[in-house]
Amino acid sequence: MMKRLLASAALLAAVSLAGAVNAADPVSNYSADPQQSHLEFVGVQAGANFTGAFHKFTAAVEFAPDALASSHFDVQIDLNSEDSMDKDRDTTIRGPDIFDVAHWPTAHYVTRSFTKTAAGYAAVGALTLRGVTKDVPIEFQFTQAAAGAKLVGSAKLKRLDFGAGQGDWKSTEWVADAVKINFSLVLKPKT
Amino acid sequence: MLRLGVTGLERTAGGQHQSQSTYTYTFEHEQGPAVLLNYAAVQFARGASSMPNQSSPTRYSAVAQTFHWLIAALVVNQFVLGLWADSLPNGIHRLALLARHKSFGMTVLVLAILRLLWRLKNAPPELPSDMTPLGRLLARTTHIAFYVLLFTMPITGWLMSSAKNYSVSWFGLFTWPNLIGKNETAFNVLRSTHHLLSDVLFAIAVLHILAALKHHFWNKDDVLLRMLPFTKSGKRS
Ligand code: HEM
Ligand code: HEM
Repeated sequence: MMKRLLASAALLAAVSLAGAVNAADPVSNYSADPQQSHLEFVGVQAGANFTGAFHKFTAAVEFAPDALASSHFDVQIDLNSEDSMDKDRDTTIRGPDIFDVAHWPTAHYVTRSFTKTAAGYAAVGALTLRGVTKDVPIEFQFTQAAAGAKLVGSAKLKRLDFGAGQGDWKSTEWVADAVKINFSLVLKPKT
Repeated sequence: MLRLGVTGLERTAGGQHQSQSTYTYTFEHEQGPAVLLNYAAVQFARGASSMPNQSSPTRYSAVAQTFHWLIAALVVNQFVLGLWADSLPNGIHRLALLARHKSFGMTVLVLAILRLLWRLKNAPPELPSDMTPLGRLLARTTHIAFYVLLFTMPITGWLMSSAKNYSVSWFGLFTWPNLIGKNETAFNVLRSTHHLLSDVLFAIAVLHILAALKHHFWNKDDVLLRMLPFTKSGKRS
């Protein structure tokens, strides 16, 4: 009897504690509107820039400027939706030597920590691509809007860190190692 | 930039060119650009006789020779790179060859502009007086066709790359602007055109080289020698 009482008290306490944390949690939950949001990369091929967009991705954003510690981004990218406006190039990029979408159809980005910067915010997160997980820092600006928010930012990474370049494509003579990522997300409150 | 290039080349042309340059200058100022155009056409057609104050040279100048042989070497290089690239499947090797093909090809375009500007102000030597009217017509037509192709080859290449959404870099130093947007149909048309023009250029070059050799070994005239550096022209017989 005593044991039962204690157990339910503990349960009650746990539940109310969880409730209290929830109530005090100031982050807002958003998801990126797929129609208006953009995610693209800029690579350098034979000395000239080219841009590839990812038409399909999801971004779950929990963020508040005054609650960076409990903010969190989770982005899933469908690598098959990569589009550099040329089918030959897309075939190569999606193919076994670069993304290898047959084995790794998605890329995943999860943030770990946020900091305030002069221009906006910075975050460090782990990017998983081709089965390799590595930290990639991002920088962004967050602006509250009437029905949600806007998140605009960029990141830099090295494609070879993730093995996105096998065989001939390991060479950086004709395709640069450095790749820039640009994103512009229109965030809608999660319901 | 263009102006600078021309000036640089003119300096190597030496004194022979100076008087002519002054002449063009006053001409331009007195009677405007329409007359200049007319003047240019006359110059191109070697009609120097109607021009006072102009002695026809007996040899191609150092500038003309430099343009000729530099561009000829680059054009040969374009064929090697273009045909080699075209024989390869998509991959880094093809990408690398085409990157060089495009960089050198854009170099040809720039040189062709400078060469044409220079040529319009500097008449070439007269054709040998014993040439038949047909021979003259052939020589004139192939030379004009060369000038046209030295522009249309690189421009169709540049347009083709733009239509495929592959911006053209110049040896990785800077990127030329895209001339048109991504357009699959345009790309296919331009690709066929580039290929067709390269066939025409090839045919004309064969004709041109055979003609040069015929002049030298059959007619035994100065035509080849006067385009060759380190040689002397003078009546051969
Ligand atoms: C004098 C200048 C040029 C010459 C003589 C030339 C000649 C050629 C030749 C012979 C080929 C192979 C044709 C074939 O097999 O279909 C070729 C292909 C090609 N050229 Fe050029 N070219 C010139 C300039 C350029 C420039 C400036 C560019 C681009 C900026 C360019 C882009 C290309 C491309 C992309 C191909 C491959 C086409 C394909 O996909 O088959 N070319 N060129
Ligand atoms: C494919 C490369 C070549 C191109 C694009 C080319 C183009 C030209 C052009 C445009 C001219 C006229 C110059 C002017 O009056 O402004 C010319 C003249 C000449 N070329 Fe070439 N050429 C090429 C290769 C050659 C070769 C390989 C030879 C030697 C066998 C040669 C021999 C000559 C000679 C002798 C002249 C002077 C003709 C005259 O006195 O009227 N060319 N070339």
